[in-house]
Parts: sequence; structure tokens; C-alpha cells
Amino acid sequence: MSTLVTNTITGLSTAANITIGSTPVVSASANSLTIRGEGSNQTSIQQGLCKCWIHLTGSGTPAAADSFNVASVTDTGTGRYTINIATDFGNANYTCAGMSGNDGTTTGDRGQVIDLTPTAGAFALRNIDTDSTNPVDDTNILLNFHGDLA
Amino acid sequence: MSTIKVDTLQTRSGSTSAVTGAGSLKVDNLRGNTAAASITLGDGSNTLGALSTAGGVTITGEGGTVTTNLQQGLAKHWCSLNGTSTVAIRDSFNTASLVDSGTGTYSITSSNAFATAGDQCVTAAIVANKMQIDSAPSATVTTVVSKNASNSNTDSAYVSISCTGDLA
Repeated sequence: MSTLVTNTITGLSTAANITIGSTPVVSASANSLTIRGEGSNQTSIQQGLCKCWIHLTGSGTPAAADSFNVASVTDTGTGRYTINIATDFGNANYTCAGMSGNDGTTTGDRGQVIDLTPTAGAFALRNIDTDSTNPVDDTNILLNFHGDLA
Repeated sequence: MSTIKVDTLQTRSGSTSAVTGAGSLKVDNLRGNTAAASITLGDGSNTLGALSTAGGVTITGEGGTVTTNLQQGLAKHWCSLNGTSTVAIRDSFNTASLVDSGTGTYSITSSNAFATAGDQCVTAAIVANKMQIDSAPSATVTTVVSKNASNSNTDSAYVSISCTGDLA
């Protein structure tokens, strides 16, 4: 085992470029580290990371079965939840995608709707039956968020 | 144990300092010593592996027992848009353009293409009622449509898509 102890690693030929194994990694600007993808294109590591996700148990007392970067969940009514984000986004322009249902007993179709104007630190969700448009509690509500952190 | 203490270490040509007294290392290529394709970071808790496989860098997962692929796990394309009136991108990553393709219908083009048309996994939400894929995705264009409760196309103020898959 060889161990290298250092604080900063910089490219020798080009300061921003380091190849790890056979994979180029480029740190060309602050807070943006790119890595070569599956083919020949580079992709941003920070921009590609999911910054927040939750598997929400939305029935009974709503709670996160598991989550990442979620501070708390607020029950705001039937089928209505506010996801409070621990480390805020830099703005309210992040994306959210999700799906929901029960454990094999879901009747009707489901949709997830923005309930209130999003903020950098909180996302209000309305989980609905798309046939009736009524908010519904579901056992499984899955959400993931992408965007820029503060 | 042998220790070499040095303020500056130069390449064989003698023209470039590879190690400086400030604790910085200049290097073009990092490889594992015991195994070329594996490097352990920090206090030894995290290992980058499969470094000899293009597009397949692995990193230790949260549980510490299995690894996950770094590149495959990244979202390659996402877009948050306002789909009412004149459609506009709120924020995005790897997005070249947004086209209003009709009521509730939006075509989002990625800058860097996916390797295979339709191979990307697309998730889309959070709108008036429900979102659907409107037409077969190409390697660069994803077209989604927002529907209301009557299953009619409807414009939505908040539309999100995120795509994972293999880049070209």
C-alpha cells in the first residue's frame, strides 16, 4: 500500500486537467468538476448529482422512510405535504420529478402537483388521483430534485 | 520506513516543479500502486475503482459494502421550465433549447447527446395534473405533454424533466 499525503493535486501539463486511471477529470472553474461520461463527452459531476430525494410514507403520520438532504416533512392536509430541504438550493428554479402509489392496491392514476410556489428551502406537493383530481394520501411517494445548491 | 523531505521535486527535464513546498502535487495521471485501477481517498473510507474502464468509475456506496458507478449515477440532462405564455427555461443543465410544440407540449433539446435514441430514462412531473412522453425521444430531444383531468393538453407553469442514461 502506497499513500500520498497532499492538500492539492494540480495537472502538470494543464493545471485544470487530471487523468485518473483512464478517466479525464477537469476542474476548469469554481464549483464545476467534469468527468468523462460513458462515451467521449464530459459531464458535470455537481450538476448531475441529485441534491435531494425522499421516499415519503404519506399515509398515517407522514414520514420519510428514507431521504437525502431532507430536514423534515410537514403534513399540510390530505395528500398535501411540504418537503423542507436541509441545505437549501441557490434558487427556486430546481426540478422535481416523482411518482406515487400504494403497496399494490392503488386505484386510479396518480400525479404530483406543485401546491405552492416553490422556494429554495421548501417544496409543497399535492399528490392527486388524476381521474378525480382529489388529493390522496399514498403509502409511497417518491421524489427527486435536481438543481443548483446555494 | 524511509522519509524523503524535499521542498521542490522536478520532472526529469528539470523544467517543471511536480511537488512544491506548499503541499501541492502536480501530476497528469493518477493510478493505483497495488492495483492500477483502484485509488483510496482521504482516510481510507472511500475508494475509486474500475479506473481502467472508460465511463465506469466506481465509488463506495453509503453502506460501505458495495460500489456504485459514478458516471451512470449522474443525471445527464435536466430542465425546469415555465410552460405558460412564452415558454421559458427557469434553470437547466445540458440543455440547448426549449421549443413550444403546442398547448401543453414542450420539446427540450440537450446539448450533449445521449448515446442511443430513446435509451435515456426520463422522469417528468410536476404540473397541472399529469405528464406524458409525447413522442419517441431521440438522442437529443425529449418531448413531453401536460394533461388536465379531462386528458386535454394544458399549459403548466411548472414543468420538470430529468434524464439519466449513457452519453455519446
